[in-house]
Amino acid sequence: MTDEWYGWAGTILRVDLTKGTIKKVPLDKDLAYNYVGGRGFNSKILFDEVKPGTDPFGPDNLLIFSTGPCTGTSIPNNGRYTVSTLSWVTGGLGDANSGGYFGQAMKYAGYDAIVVKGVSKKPVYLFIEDDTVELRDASHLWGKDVWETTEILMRDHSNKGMSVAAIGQAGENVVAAAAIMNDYSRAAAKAGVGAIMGSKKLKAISAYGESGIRVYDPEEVYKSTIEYIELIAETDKWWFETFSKYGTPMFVDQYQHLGALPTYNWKEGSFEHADKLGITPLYEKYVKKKRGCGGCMYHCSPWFRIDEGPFKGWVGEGVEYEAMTGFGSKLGCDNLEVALVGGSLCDMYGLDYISAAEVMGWAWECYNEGILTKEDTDGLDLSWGNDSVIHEVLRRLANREGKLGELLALGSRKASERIGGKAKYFSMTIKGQQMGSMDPRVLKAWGFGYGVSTRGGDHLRTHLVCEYMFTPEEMEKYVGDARASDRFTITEAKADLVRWTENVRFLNDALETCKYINRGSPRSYVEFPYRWLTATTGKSYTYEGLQTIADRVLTIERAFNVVRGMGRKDDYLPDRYYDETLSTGTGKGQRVSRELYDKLLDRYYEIRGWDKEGKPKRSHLEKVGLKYVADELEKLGCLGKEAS
Amino acid sequence: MTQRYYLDVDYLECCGCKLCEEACAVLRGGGIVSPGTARIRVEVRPTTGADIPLVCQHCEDPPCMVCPVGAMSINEMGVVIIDEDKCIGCRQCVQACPFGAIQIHPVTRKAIKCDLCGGHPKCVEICKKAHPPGVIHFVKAEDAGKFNRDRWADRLEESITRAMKLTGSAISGALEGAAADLAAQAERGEVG
Repeated sequence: MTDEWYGWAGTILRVDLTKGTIKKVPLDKDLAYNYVGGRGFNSKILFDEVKPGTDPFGPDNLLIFSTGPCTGTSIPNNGRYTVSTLSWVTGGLGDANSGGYFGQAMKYAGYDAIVVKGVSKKPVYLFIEDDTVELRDASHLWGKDVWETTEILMRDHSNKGMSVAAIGQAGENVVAAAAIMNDYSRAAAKAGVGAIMGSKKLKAISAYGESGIRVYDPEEVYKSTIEYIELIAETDKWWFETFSKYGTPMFVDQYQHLGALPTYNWKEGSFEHADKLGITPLYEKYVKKKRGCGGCMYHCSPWFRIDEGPFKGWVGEGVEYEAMTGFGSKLGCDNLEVALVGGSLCDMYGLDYISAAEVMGWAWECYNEGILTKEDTDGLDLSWGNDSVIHEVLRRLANREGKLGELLALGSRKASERIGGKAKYFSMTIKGQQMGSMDPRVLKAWGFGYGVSTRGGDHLRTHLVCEYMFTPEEMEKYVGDARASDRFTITEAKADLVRWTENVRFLNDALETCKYINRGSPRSYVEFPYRWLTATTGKSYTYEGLQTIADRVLTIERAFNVVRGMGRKDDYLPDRYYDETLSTGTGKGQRVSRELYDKLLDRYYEIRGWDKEGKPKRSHLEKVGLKYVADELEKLGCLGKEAS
Repeated sequence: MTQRYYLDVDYLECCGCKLCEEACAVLRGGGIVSPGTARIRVEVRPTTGADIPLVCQHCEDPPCMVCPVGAMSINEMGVVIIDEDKCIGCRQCVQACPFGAIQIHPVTRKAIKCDLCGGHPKCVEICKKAHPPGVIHFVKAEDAGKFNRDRWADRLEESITRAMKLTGSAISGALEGAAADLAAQAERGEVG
């Protein structure tokens, strides 16, 4: 801990795996005050230090783990951190966010961020215990799954209180769906961050610390925590109680009702057997208790055990909506136990549920359409509804085993490019990133948010439950158009809604709080972030000031992608959502209009200060304090045109 | 006789969020927010699903009285407290406590432990707010038996009625109803 800091720990770890060196660098004040933390730190460091042309697997790519100024305090749901890198999957920005205790552990040890560069010759892990930070040999851990790795490290260091972030076989084998797992079952999942960690031969980071941090106004930190919990409990009582009780598996029932439950690789938005995957069977037989991440004001993570049948003895945690739909409706399967065990296998192999299930959905559809044959699948039958092969496919995917494993390891965009033809149509990705599971055809703003997300197809970049939570009056108040409260409608105001809620979500990623805390009264995301920041850091933040910081970081992320050739063409949804209408469920008849989507893009770029191609303009860059980025873009010929 | 209290922990319901630990460290950490400055610690065991809050029980006959310099005492409210001026940081009390409820502050190097926040423990407050009805309760010492009897009787009642299948259909019916409720709630715009 550095004495001059409140909120922030004050030190960044710079690890060079090629040289095997570790440096403790004082946190830069400009970075702290103007980028806040977490994703804000990461995106700036990436833009500044990872130049165009860098090989994602080369020594110059960075893998950055950052916490925020609220991490480790009592601020609700503070136990999160962001990992960012130049993604092999998107070819641009890649970041992933995770809960559990890892972010808190590295912060308590005294570090706001860990910036890893280089490539190690042999497998290593980074050991952190307060001032002691060392790279150690991980030969004995290589090849082990996440859970074994975690247990070995805890045993070797006689510390069950340590937090371990590790890759499993998927990361070691540089699989596109590879996640970085921490605390057994928490995933920094997106963008193939685990593959980059694997390419660097960094097996794990273990963290434990008691050095701690300081907060500027402890009474206000505590008071604003209690007031926040009371606010949510009062203004969104239903959510507070129901989400705490069921966690995300309740979305199976709810998205089925909305017609948004991806089914048969997104062909449909409702599944005839959804009731077998929902909360009724889950809570009747399997869930034994609920757990929470560090600082959680809910506890959305169901801990389950299967007591009988073929999967007797399996346990798992954090079992999630994405596993139920991913290994359920997306593959046409209705076996809840297979989905539960599939989720645990992903945690052990270090696979992102979403990306793994999505690439499997792609393979399943290709197989059922005759594009892939048993020759391509090494004899496995990928017929819709065949749940008997799911665990085997996951194993082959994580280990890149056989033809099928090699193919799926690429992720569906690259795999479909290899196969060609109609296979590309079945790849449901944006910027190469597999998407979270709510059908954009029945949630139009949410879908648009997927499209423009700076890390590729993603449901977490925007807070678009507003789209169906806000009343017409509230919509009028916040984005100036009451019609935006109809989830099927596209109005230009939805671009405004996306921009605003992107900023809301960025603040979660910067303070490092869980996104599920933004509920009920908009006070929850208007008033509290600046109050929390001011109380923890002692620096005076305002709502407007934080909006500018959000605009700044969203723009620097955009710039990072633009200098790599990405632009408007990469902001569209997969063709299926424009071309195919849903034929079942409450969203029957819905699709996305290309023409209206284009209008949304125009409006969105305009209010973001980017030109029609989605390139940031100098005027906007200077307005948000990024003159040096404007200069860099100009040098590279990527600056937006002012007039357009 | 003065009224004595203790913190009663429902070990089966704790979710491992550590809000209690964090609140304690923020308010009572002596300026340092860290698990090392909290007077309640939560050990988590994700593989078994056990989350284990460890806190001073304010024993009637406290083993921590092993203190060689007499820094440990029971005050007039029955609270086991440490006189930090006397503490020599020898860790005898740390080792003696069967609940692992005492630790050495990373900066002062003195033993620290729960003192029930003068009768308004913040760990209890934050736990109750976030996870009603809460898993840490501020309970009168003489009510310990009654308090736990009710808790376990409620649990047994549930499993007994299940076993008797007298209300079995009602229970599974309630679960089925929960799915229908969610759909109805979604209809009203109460959607996750």
